[in-house]
Amino acid sequence: MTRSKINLAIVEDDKQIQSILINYFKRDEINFDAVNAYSSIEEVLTVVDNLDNFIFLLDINLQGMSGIDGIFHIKNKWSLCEIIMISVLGDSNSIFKSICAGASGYLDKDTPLGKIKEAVIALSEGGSPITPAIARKVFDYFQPSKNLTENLTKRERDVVQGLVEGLSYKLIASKLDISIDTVRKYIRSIYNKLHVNSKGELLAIYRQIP
Amino acid sequence: MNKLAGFFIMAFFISHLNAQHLQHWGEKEGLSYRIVNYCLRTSDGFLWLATGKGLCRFDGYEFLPIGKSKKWDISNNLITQVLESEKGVLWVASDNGISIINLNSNEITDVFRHTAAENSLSDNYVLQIYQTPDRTIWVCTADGIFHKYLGNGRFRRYYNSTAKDRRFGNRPLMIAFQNHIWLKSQDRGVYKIEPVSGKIVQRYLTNPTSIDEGGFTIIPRYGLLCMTKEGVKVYHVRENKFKTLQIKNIKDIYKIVPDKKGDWWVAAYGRKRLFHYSNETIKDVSGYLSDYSQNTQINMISPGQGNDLWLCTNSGLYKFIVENPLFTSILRKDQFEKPLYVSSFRGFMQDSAGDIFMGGYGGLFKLNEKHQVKQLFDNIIYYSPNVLIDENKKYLWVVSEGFGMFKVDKKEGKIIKQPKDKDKYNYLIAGIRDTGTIFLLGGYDELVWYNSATNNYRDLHLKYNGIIFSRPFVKFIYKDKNKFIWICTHFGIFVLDPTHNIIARYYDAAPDGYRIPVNKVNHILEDKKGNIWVSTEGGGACKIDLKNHKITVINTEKGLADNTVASILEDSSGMIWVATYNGLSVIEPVNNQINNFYDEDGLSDNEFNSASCLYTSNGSLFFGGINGVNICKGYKVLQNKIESGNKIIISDIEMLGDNNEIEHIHNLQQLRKDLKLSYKYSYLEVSFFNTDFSHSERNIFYYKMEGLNDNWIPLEKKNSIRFASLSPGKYILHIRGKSSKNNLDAEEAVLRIEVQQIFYKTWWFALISIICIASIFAGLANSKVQQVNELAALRAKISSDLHDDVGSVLTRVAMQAEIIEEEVSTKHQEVMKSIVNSCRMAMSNMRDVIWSTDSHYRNVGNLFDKITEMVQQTMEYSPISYKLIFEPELYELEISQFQKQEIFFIIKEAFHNIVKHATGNLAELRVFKVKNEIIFIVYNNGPVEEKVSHTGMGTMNMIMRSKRINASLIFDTSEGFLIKLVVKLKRTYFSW
Repeated sequence: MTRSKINLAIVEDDKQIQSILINYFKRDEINFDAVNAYSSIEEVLTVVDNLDNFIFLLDINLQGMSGIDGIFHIKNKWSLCEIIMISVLGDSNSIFKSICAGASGYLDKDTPLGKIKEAVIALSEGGSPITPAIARKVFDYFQPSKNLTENLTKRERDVVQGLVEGLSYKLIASKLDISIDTVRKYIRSIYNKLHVNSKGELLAIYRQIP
Repeated sequence: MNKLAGFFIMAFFISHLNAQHLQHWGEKEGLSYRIVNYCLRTSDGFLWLATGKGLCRFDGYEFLPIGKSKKWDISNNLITQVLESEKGVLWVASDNGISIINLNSNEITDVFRHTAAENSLSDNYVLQIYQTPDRTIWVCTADGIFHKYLGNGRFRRYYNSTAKDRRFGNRPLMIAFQNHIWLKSQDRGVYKIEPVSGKIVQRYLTNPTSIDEGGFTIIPRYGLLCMTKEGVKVYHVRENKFKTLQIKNIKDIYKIVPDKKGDWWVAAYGRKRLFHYSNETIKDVSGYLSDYSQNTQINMISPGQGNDLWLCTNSGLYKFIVENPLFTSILRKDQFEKPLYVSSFRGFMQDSAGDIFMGGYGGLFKLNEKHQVKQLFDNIIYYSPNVLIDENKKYLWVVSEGFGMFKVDKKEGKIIKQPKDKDKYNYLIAGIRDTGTIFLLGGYDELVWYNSATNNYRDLHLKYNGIIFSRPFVKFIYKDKNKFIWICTHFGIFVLDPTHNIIARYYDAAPDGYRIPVNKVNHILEDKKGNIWVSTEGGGACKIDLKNHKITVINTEKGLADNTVASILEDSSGMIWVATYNGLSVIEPVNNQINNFYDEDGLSDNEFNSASCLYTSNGSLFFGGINGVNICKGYKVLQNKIESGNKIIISDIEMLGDNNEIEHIHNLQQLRKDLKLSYKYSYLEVSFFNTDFSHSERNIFYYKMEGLNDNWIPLEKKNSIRFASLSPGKYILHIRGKSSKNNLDAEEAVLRIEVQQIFYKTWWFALISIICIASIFAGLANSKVQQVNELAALRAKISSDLHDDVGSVLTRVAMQAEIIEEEVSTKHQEVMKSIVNSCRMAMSNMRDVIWSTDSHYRNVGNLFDKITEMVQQTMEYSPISYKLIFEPELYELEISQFQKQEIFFIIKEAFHNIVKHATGNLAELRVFKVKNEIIFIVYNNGPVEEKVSHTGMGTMNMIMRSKRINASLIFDTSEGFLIKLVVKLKRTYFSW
């Protein structure tokens, strides 16, 4: 099956990094179609075009509205888009918040460009990056005793447990006797469930924002 | 030989005119001035005295001058009269106007004097303040005008419209009678005035002159009496005129005052003589007045609340106790024409014919049914007929002190002496007939059986429990209905069974059931219920319940008149009569109520003699004392004697205050409040009195101080109590008391006292100290926290700046280098890769540093997350598998930022070393807790490729870092590569 080209939206307030990313992704015409760049959430929200099929590379620290807060508005406007957060510090709390808000993955800013591209492509194919720290938060979040709208399946729990233990996707796949892609899909499913469970809270929070 | 005097003495002489028990107070006793013009008992319980120099308050014990305040001073005023217009408000009439005194505070609240205003007093010399039943206050001034008080210091003056000078005469005095004001003066007679208009209705006695301020009196049955020089005039309502009332043998009457019983007390003859007028019998009691001064003049007569009578004179204050003759007394000293020593009575006996024989010191008397007394013989000196024992119709045995035992002819009084055995057995005090001719007699030194048939004496030795009582001093012997003999001695009571064996002894050290308060016993009585009542000398009366072996003591604490009991009788209604050395008590066994009677109640004297009593066949009780014989028909006669209780009032508090000066609190308002004392006070003395003034000297008191003692402590007759240096705390002082008349408690007085704690021991000081110390600590902590927060904020800023500035730059450089790397030739690709790697590494290191300085996440879980990410990155391209095992309960533990930082870099270095040097295929990090330590173990299962030197830079770094956090670091390469880091967990309140 031929994968369709990826539409990318880069939200980065550092002009030079923005420029580097744009040039880098635009050069790959095979995988990427539109590559748009914005400097702030506010600028994004002024776009009238439909960005539903875009993947956003969203910096957490932006001038104006933060990237985390921007997730809600972006998803509200274009519910089908996907968002990958980029963070210099890799603060797991912020990352977890982003994921709960609707992000589908995150990357460190010092991730090589090639890895960034891989992650974007992997996301477009259904995968979601996750670290053990995030996995632990996910594990704590999805406790059986909690009255959640969506709870994890046993398999999903096993995947999270493996991640908490620091196993690589490969090792998890090997341990659970599934493929790496399946692992990625499970992670994606876990993220979606995070989105669903936290959606109500987020709506309540963001409705208060003028 | 004594001659028998055969004469009849008049029957009983009812005496109620002897105003005995006189008390006097003058300046020596504390009265502020000897001339007392007026006295008044007010609602606060005190007696207020109007003197020639100021006003005095009296509590039965002490005088307190009242009348000085900041604004006014009446201490030198001639006070003519006082009136309590309403509860707590005292009007004081003087030669300098009227003062109003608040009885609670003793403060003068107002003064009314003559001014130019028409609605003021017309003169400052106020003779009289009078309150009519409608509560209107009227005032008479010396200028001959009278006034009506309108309120607010205003007066309406009433002038004599019929006189040129508009006066009613010299020194007018008034009274209200039959809805009119009656006014009399020294020179213008009597006016009858309509009170509303002030119009003179009629004038009477136009030519009289009164005696000073003799004034008016209203006496029931007579009506209005007016004192004049021509005698007492009584107003005849029908005839509308005054007529002379004849009071025989008394002239120059100044005052007539009726008392509660309706008797009159009359001051006459220049006010120097006092008469008691009752049932047309007059007694001159003036003699008592001259005891203190030959020139005593009576200013006022005031009957008290009981049978006390108060006289205000110009030589002080007198109190008389007027007799209330409830008893009959005969054979008193004053009834004998010649002095005899016969009045102190001992033995009594009533024979079958109903004749009563009475033995007095030196004589023997016989009283027949008609109460005619015949003296059988006298002139026997040093002879006391202590016991009289009936022989038969003709003879009487007399047990005497001085003449032993002898027989007397009842009719003639002839003494038939019995010979004595060896001159012994002369001093006999007690005796009984045992059987037939056998008597048991006792005296100072002996206890002896006497056979009158053979005239033989046989000693009876008292021996009990191995003790011989050789000189028993026998006071009384009694044979009970069960024929047990009770021998009362100075060593207690010995009981003999009918076979004359001693079977019991009652004494002060005996076991329960046999223990009496003291050993000296004067008399016993067997009551109708079979109880034995014991008269002791100093221990009160005891009731021995023989069935239950229980002894009840009744003494002065319970209201008995005195603790030395002479004898006890039971009347027909079951009341127990206890004759003591100081009064007669009657006990109601049902409720233990006690009423006491004294000389003022008709007793010839308060002192009774041991075992001198008789209950006659017609229900009379005879008690012999040191002054004749007292007779009473029984308690029913005395039933109206029971009086209700009075109050105990605290009159003064004296204390040594902070400034070492004695302070007094006199006014009732302050005395009713709680007393707060500083911890510095040295002593506190509280004085009090019983509102029964009739016998202040007999009132007894008890106190209990809650907070100090739980029991009631008797004060006897002392009316004050002193406490020295009470410890800080709260106390409640209770004072109870009884008057001498009965054992009903007067209403208790209560005083709450708080002795304040020294300030540094008080709760508020402790609280303030704690708050201050806590504030200091909080301040310090806050300061520290602030410092910490500032430091954290600085770090956060540095982190943020690093992230924003340096991080961005590094990212740019790395990204650009990556792009260039793809575009340059292979030769330069390595260089560019190196640049990229350097940038990424710089960013990574920077991230690590920023993380390590971030103060927000101090829990171990955060450390684990970071270690996990680091290990993932470090081991990503290594063939060595890794395993990270963290104990779950460690995640929430807190460690210091510094510890977090150093531990992270040690583990990071350890994994870098594994990647560089280890040859095994598995790297493991295990973290767990043991007691108060967290243990980090990094292990690789393969031998180390090169010999790892512990002096290498990386290793040195690790060692240095471990020392910084006081952790121990162990290297072990014996089996693979192992590092053990042990970190102590400390509780820190201020961790930074």
